[in-house]
Formats: sequence, C-alpha cells, structure tokens
Amino acid sequence: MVTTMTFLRTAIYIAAWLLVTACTPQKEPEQNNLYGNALTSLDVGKQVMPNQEIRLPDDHLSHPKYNVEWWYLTANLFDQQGNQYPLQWTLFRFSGTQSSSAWHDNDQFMAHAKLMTKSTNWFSEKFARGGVGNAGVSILNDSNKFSAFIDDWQWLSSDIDLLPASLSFDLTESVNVNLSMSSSGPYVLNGNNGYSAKQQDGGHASMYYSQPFINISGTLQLPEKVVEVSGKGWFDHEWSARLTDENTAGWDWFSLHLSNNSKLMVFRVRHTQLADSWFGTYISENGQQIHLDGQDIIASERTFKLVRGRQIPLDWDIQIPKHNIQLNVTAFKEDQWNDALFSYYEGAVTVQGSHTGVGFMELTGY
Amino acid sequence: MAKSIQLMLNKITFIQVLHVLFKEHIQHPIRGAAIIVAMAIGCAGLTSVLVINETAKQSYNMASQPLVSNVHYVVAPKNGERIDKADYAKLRRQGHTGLVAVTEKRFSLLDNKSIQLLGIDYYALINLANNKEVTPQNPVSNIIFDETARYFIHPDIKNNLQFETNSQGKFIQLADRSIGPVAEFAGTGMGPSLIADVGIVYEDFPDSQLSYLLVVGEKQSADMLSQALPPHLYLKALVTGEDAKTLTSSFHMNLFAMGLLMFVVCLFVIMNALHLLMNKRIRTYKILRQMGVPIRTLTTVSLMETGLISSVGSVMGVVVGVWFASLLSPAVNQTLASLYNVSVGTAELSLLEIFLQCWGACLLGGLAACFLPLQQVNQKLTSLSSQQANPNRWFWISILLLALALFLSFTVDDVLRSFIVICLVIFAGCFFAIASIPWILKQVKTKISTNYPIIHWSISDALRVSSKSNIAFCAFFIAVVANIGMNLMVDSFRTATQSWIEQRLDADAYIYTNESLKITNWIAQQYPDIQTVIRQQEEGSFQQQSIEVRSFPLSKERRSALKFEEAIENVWQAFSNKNGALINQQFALSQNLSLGQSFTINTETLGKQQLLVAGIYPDYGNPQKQLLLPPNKVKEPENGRNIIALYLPQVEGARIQFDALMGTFKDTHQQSDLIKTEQLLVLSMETFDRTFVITQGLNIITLLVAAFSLTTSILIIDKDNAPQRALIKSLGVGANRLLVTTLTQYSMLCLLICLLAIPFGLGLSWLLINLVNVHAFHWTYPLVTNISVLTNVVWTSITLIILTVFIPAFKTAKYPLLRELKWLQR
Repeated sequence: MVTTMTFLRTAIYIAAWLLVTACTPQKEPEQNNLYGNALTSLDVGKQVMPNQEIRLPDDHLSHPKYNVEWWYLTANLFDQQGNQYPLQWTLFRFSGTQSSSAWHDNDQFMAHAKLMTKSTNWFSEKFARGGVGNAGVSILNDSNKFSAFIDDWQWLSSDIDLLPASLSFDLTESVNVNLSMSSSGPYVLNGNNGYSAKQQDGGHASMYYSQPFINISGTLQLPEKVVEVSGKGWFDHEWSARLTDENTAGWDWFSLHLSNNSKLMVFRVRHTQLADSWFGTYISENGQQIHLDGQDIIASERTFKLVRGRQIPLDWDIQIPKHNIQLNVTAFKEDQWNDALFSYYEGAVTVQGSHTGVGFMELTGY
Repeated sequence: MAKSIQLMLNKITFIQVLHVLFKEHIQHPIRGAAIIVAMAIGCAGLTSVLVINETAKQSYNMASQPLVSNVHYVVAPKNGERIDKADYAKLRRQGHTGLVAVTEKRFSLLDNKSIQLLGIDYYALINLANNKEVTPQNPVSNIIFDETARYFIHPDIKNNLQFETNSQGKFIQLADRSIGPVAEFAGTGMGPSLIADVGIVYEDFPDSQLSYLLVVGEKQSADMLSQALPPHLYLKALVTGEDAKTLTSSFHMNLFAMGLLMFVVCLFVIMNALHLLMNKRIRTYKILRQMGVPIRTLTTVSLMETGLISSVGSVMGVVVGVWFASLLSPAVNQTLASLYNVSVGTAELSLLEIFLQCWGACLLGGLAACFLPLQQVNQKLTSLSSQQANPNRWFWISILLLALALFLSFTVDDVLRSFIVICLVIFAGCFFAIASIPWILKQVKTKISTNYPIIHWSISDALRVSSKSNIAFCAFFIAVVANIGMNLMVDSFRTATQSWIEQRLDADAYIYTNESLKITNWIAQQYPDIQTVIRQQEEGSFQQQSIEVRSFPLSKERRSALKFEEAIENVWQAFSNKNGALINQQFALSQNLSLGQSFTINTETLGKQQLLVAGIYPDYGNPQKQLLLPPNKVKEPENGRNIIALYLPQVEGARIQFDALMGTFKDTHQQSDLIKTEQLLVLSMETFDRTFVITQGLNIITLLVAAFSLTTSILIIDKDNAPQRALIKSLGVGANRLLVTTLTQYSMLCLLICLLAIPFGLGLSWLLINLVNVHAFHWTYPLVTNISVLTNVVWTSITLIILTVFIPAFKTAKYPLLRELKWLQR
C-alpha cells in the first residue's frame, strides 16, 4: 500500500534524481580498488611453500586447500583479413568466505570472458558455487577428460591433460566463441620451479605455471557475421593462500609473444609499504625458461591515459638487458577495461622495439 | 497583411474572452469550484482504486517472481518426483542459464500465523543482472553483498512479525526456533516472503529440498528448455501470480467497478455543473457574440477552460486519492491477508503514471462532459427560440438500448462484454428516467386539485426542476441503480454463501493443524467416542491445468452436507460405485463441463482416469477448479497441514468427551486451533462482510456525491424561482411550511427516481450474478430480492438528499419577503 511516507519518499527520490543527474558526473570511480577491495578480504588458506612441486597433469585440477586459484587464457586471434580479435577467458576459484551446506561446498567460482575488436568490447562474467554442479575444474567421470566449466562456458580437453582442448562460451545472445586449442611447446614453471614470489621479502607467493605455446583456431559468431580466426594463446594457472595482502596496491602483468617465437612474462606488484617488485620469465623459442627478478627487468610507464575516469598506464618500456630485449609495449586500444563486479584493465598489447609481437597486459588497482 | 491583422485581432479576441471568463470566475467562484470539486472527487475515487489494485497486483507478482521479473514459467517435478541440484546444474550447463533455483518453506509463527521462506540462488541472480546492472544501486546486489544479515524482509511485512534482538542482530521468532539475522529491505521485487540465499536455507535447514526453478526470460526460450527437460520434470506456466490475482479478483473487480462507477457518476456531476455554469453564462455569451466574437472562439476558450479545470481537479484528486488509499490500507491489508493470505504493501508505484492516467481520464471526461452543455449553449445562441425536443425520444432511445443489451447478453462470453451490457442497461435506465419523470409529474399534477395550491405549485415546480436537471438526475439515478444492483448482488451472495457454508460445515468442530495424523491418533486414544475425519487431498491435472482433488465421505449421513447445483438422478450411486465425480461450479463453467459428460483427469493415485460428471456443487470463494472423489481414490492423508472434522456420534458420553477435549486441547496442542462449527460460521460470515465493507463504503460515497450534485443543481435552479417564492410568501405561506414543502418536494422527487431505479437495479444485479460472476469467477447463485435491501437504499438516498438540501432550503425559506421582492426589482 502506498502510504503517505511512500508518497513523500517517491517525491524526494524524483527530486533527488533530478538534482543528481543534473549536477554530478555519471560515475565517480573508486581509486585504488584492487578488484573492488572485495577479494582482499578473503581468509588466508594454506600457504604455498618454496620447495613445493608442480605435478602435471594432476595440478591442472583444483586445489581446494588454497583459497585463491585461477585458470587464465589470453589470446590474440586474427581473421584472414588480418583483423585482430583479442580474447580473454578466465575461471577464478575462491574459498574461505562461506561455510558449506548441502547446497554448496566452500568454493566460489567467478568467470570472465571477453572478446574485442578495434571498435567493440564484449565482456561477460558469471558466478557460481562449488558443490552445486554447475561450476568446477575436474576430470569428467563419464569421459575421463579435463574440464573447467561454469554453466555452459567450458574448457574441455581431449584427455586428462589441459591440451588439446576446445573452448566454448557466449558473451551475448549473438556473440559466441568456439575454439580449438593445441600446444606446440612445453609448460613453463614460473618463479622457482613454479613457486612464484610476489614480494621481494617473500611475504606472498603462489604456485604458478604457464602454457605460452598455444595455437588456436576457431569460429567467432558475431552479431552480423561469422569469422574464422586463428592465433596464439597464453595460459596461466596459479593458486595461493590469498589474493594479496592488505598492503598490495595492485599489479601490472604482461605476457608477450615475441617475433622470434620467444615469450616473455613480466609482472610488477605495487606495494604501499615495500618497494615495487618485478618478476618474470623469459622463454626462448625452444622452450628454455629463465627466471627474471627485479635486477633483470627495467620497466616503466611511458604514458597514462584516462580510461573510465582512471589514469591507466597504457604505454610501457620494458627492457631485459641480459637478453637484449628492449620493448615498447602499447595497448591495442585505450578502453579495454573489464567493467565487472570486480573491475580491472585487461587488454591486448602491441610490441615494438628489439622485437615485435603481440600480447596481453593486466593492470589492477587503478 | 490583411491576413496577419486578422490573426492578430483573433488573438486579441481570444485573450479578451479568456479574460472575461476569468473575471466571471472571480465574481462567481462557487461555480468553478463546484466543477473542480466534482472532478477532484471523481479522480480521487479512481486514484484510490488504481493505487489499491496496482499495489496489490504488484505484490502478487512479486510473490511469484522474487527479486526478478519476466518470469512466465517454472520447471517443476512431476507428481511424485523430485527436482534436485543435479537437475539444476545439468540444465545450466546445457545453456539454460535463465534458471534460478528456489526452495520454498513455510513456518508457523508464534501467533499461529505462518510465513513463507524463499531460498533463492543469489548466484544465478547476479548472473542475470548482467554485469553492468550489478552495481551498488541494484537491489539484488544490496542483498547479496550485505554481510550483516542472512535473511531479508520487506519493512511492511516485518511489522506483523515478532523479533528478538541479540548482539548479532534481529531474529524472527518462529514457533520452534529463531532465524536471522534479518534485515529490512524495501527494494523492488520483495514480496510478502522472507528471502534468503538458497545456500543459507540449506545451511540452516539441512533437510531442505529444491521446490522449483524459475525460468527467467522471454516466453520463446521456454520451448527449447521444454525439450531439454528430463522426463521427471516439466515446464509449468507460472500461475502463482495469476492465481493470486484470481484469488482476489472478486475483491478487485468490485473495487474497480465501484471506482469506475464513482468516476462515471462524477462525470455526470461535472457535466451537470458545466451545464449550470454555461446556462448562467448565456447572457455573457450573448454580449460577446454581439461584440463579434465568433462561436468557434467561445467554444475553444470554453474547452480550454474545462481543460484547465480538469488539470487542477485531477491534481487535487490524485493527492486526495493517494491519501485516501493510505487511509484504507489497513482495511485492505487486513481483508486480503485474512482472506487470501497475501499481503499488500510492498510495491513501488509510479505515482506519475497514476497521475497521468487520472489526468488523462479527467481531461477526456471533462471535455466530453463539456460537449453537451456547449452544444446547448451554441443552439441557444444561434437560434431565437430553442426547439422543444420530442419528449418521447428518450423513451425510444431507452427501449433501443435495452433491446441492444438484451441481444448482446445472449452473445456475451467474457467479462468486458458483460460490462458493456451493464452499461447499456444503466444508460437505458437513465433515458427511461428522463422520459418518465416529467410524464409522471404531469399525470400527478392533473390529478391534484387546484384547491391545494401549495401542493399544486410544488408539483409544477418539481416539473420545472426536472426539465432543467436531466443530467443531475442521471447521475443520481446511476448511483441509485448501482447501489441497488451491488447491494442485492452482495446480499444474494451472502445468502447463498451462508446457506452453502451452513450445509457444508456439518461437523461439530474443526481442528486446523500442521500435524493432522498425530492429532487424530491422540484423539482416538484420549477421546475414543469422538469421530475424526481428515479430508484427503492431492493435486491432479485436467488438460495440463491443475485441479484440486479432495475426498468426500461415502457414508449416507455425510451426503446431506453437499449442496448440489445440479446432479444426475442416482448421483451417490454413481459416485460410490462407478466413475462418477462431483465437480465444483468453477470447474464446470470454466471447462464447459455439464452433467453426464465424461472427462479425463490425471492424479498420482489414479493415474489417467476417465470420470463422469455426476454432480455440480457450488464452492463459493474458491478460485480453484475442484473435484470430489470417494476416499479410496484420493491419496492417503499425511501428517501435515490439514483440517480435521470432529463428529459427535449420538452415544452417551460423547458430549462429555467433546467438552473435555475443548477444555484441554489448547493446552496440549498450542500450535493447532480447535474451533466449534458455530464459531467458524460466525467467523466466516464476518470475513465475508469485511470483504465487501470497502466497496459498500465507496457505494455510499458515490450516492452521496450524486445526491450532492442533484441538490446543488436543484438549488441553483431554485434561485430562478424567487418570483414564485415571493408570491407564495406574500400570500401568507410561512417559512416553516415552505421548508417542509421544499423538503417534501425533493424527497418525492428522490423517491420517484428510486422507484424508477428499482427495476433497473434488479436487472443490474441479475447481470452481475449471471454474466459477470460467471465469466469472471465461474460461479453463480440465485438472485434474492430482499425488500429490506431495497428499502434501505431508498431511505438512504432520501436521507442523503434531505441532509444535503436542508441547510440551503432552510436559508431560502427563511429569506425575508422584502429581500425576495428586492430581487424582483433587479
């Protein structure tokens, strides 16, 4: 029933809405919100240890004792005309925020998927709980295949290994992605045999391996056409006790496919109390992997641009003098912001300099 | 050049005319105010009804579409099957991501009422919110990310519950435990239930099971989903919201009909006020015409004036209407909650939308109402002498409308056309009244000897008044017809319901409980002489529609409890031994089933079974299609929510046991209610009366408005009567006698209108029962012509007329003769 109070409230709402829309900008971005500050509040799970080993294919699966984990695919795909279609598909798993019940277990899943062209971004996200059956990372009972899925978004391998595999997901009713993926090189254990420190004092670390040698082909169903594409992909799988600590301001992460078929992954963790930490892995064209730390990496932002109300460094200089690498890394386009519940910048990059190439960068905490 | 000068002159003329009319309003503020008040009253009635109806309907929708919209189906388990989270996960993995899992529970509260808990998959809701909609402003995100509470409830619902507060927050006290913390949330989509995440419900109530999956999305997507469903699940058209609407549709239709009626009556009142205003303005218009103002300008300006008055009147009306709705809200809430277990009060209404609706209706109505008076003014301005209309034409129009209504009544197959027939009958009555009143007065006048000059004058005056107040008479006539029609219908419904319920409640007492088997066992042990009967029940389907299947005892002594509308010759034999089934009117009328006809139903106990309609029984107030079968054909009773009938056999000691049971029951079974049949009858009829209390209130208000309009009209016309009044006074007729004569004259006019309205009121009542009820609710009952109802309406009408006319008539009668004579010198 409409009460007098409701009537008054409605009138006040209308007046307030008129005032607000007339006088203020549409959205005031929260500064320095690492995933909206939401994920930093997770409880701390089991810690990864420096001597911990990564065993594949077993470690492709979920690690429920660790509170944060993700399976992260980025790819730069091209059609026959040379048009670029950067793509992201990520499945996150978090635990430590909810108790289990007959409905769900401790895990919560979040998935992000994105496809871009020069003019358009299609982004979608999904959420699910573990134990219900509509999200998980497991070997399927009926087919003995590796699968990472959330609802109808699915990475489905041909066996218990990660690759070869198919990946399918939809971003809107009219945008669907169906890809076939295979690997042409070895898995790369980042850090110290997969133990990847995030701070120089070793305060936070994760287990982290990558598959940077992924060949992808497939079909993109777009609103007005169907496009056959192919290109290179990069896969990361990482798990840890927590996302970051409370003093982490954000990170800048790059995965680059260089022209001589070598690969470079570097990342910086920005810290409010400690000095920023740079780490990385250089992978030669024959798959040899070399761990990089702050002493090996010279990197700096060249230009900041205003994206969705935030100053974001979209142009970078990255040098690895030990390997004669001097790169200028530039965003594929300015607006590659993932406007998700927990938002961040994830976008394709173009590489110029001593090497050319393409890649991806993830910038959080801006 | 000449054209532009002409345009400019027109413009000046236009403004000048506006100015003149404005000045008139300043000089005679009562005239304009009367129209605004009429408009405001009509609009207030309509607004109140719209607000109440809209709020209630939104509440029902929210009850069936918790936190989401665009839900047309649910995925539900078939009879005897279950739906579990594996089904849900599988369907979601197949791409049916518009599904939202819901677990439903109902809990008893401390005051023996109950509350529904809906456990909803919040994660599915976030996905549906589609990224950008999940912002802090989104109601779903408000609930999902609120870490201070596990349960949410709308503030309006919260007021009916009992809470305990501890350091963690507020907890709702259920009959056997507390749950919480509970937070209030007044966002859209909050129905009358307690809302929580499905995971929390499973945590707090580990025995929870999925109830159904909401299918969010366009209807087309349901086809694909239907094909993907496993055999034990089916796609069920979401009828909960519709059911709720049907449940209360009787109430809403009454309310809406009354609101509309009030609006129509007010339109007549407006038309009457405008008519009087225009008549008073004739002199002004004539002067304006003599000054060269074209008729078109006068018409345009008058229409503009009406538009402006409509706008002012509608603003006032909406404000008053919303206020009135808020005053009525406790009564409406109580009615709906007690009758249908639905709560009103959680909807977010667009007042702008309601205002636009009312303003549009007022504007159109005002302009339409203005049309007739304007036409009459134009006729008076363009002709030297107005042509006398053929007095018989109203009579013939009335006959024509009645014939049309009669013809249409044979072809009516829906509620809308039923209302059209009703409108035709009411308007036929109006025209009949307009034609008859002068004729009757003339006949009476010829019969009255001139030896009674006052009476003779009074009748002549009434004749004069009647010829000038057609529109006001119409408004009053409609109000009286509607009053008679509605009151007779409600009275007939009450009589039918009372007779039906008295026959149906043949037990000595009834127990309302959640643990039926436990209680029957207890009674069997403690009070073996008392016979207990649990009515078995299950859900069945007929042509994919849900039907209630209930058991009916086979014993001869119970048969008399069932009152038949119609039945085959050996109805009980067919019911006991063959495939005879007894169906309620709702089932029969909605599915066009008649006696002796075969039909096939599907129930868990019988499977697919062909049955024969052996009898059709009234089942007033039940919105569901219902079927009675012998107990052996209906599912055995389970220990759950049910009603137990208690019978006292004619054996010694049974009464003593019964009294002992009455004495101890409340202490031993605090969660159940034992009610004697006589108390239950009283309660039922009280509930019935409460249902119609609001519509009857509106009925009286409508009558009052119409009486007010008629009185105003008569009094304004009476101002022209000063010469005659002066003459009568000069002949020595005293003020008191004049007052009595005036009041008698108005009472007689009112009585005449009421007498003319009675046959049309009877007709209206018949139409409401036999057309509207049948098409809207699929039930009907005999029309009872209760003389006391008719007399009440007549007395109420006359009383209202006398009350409204008394003070002005008293003042007029007391006018000194000198003042009346002064008037003659003007």
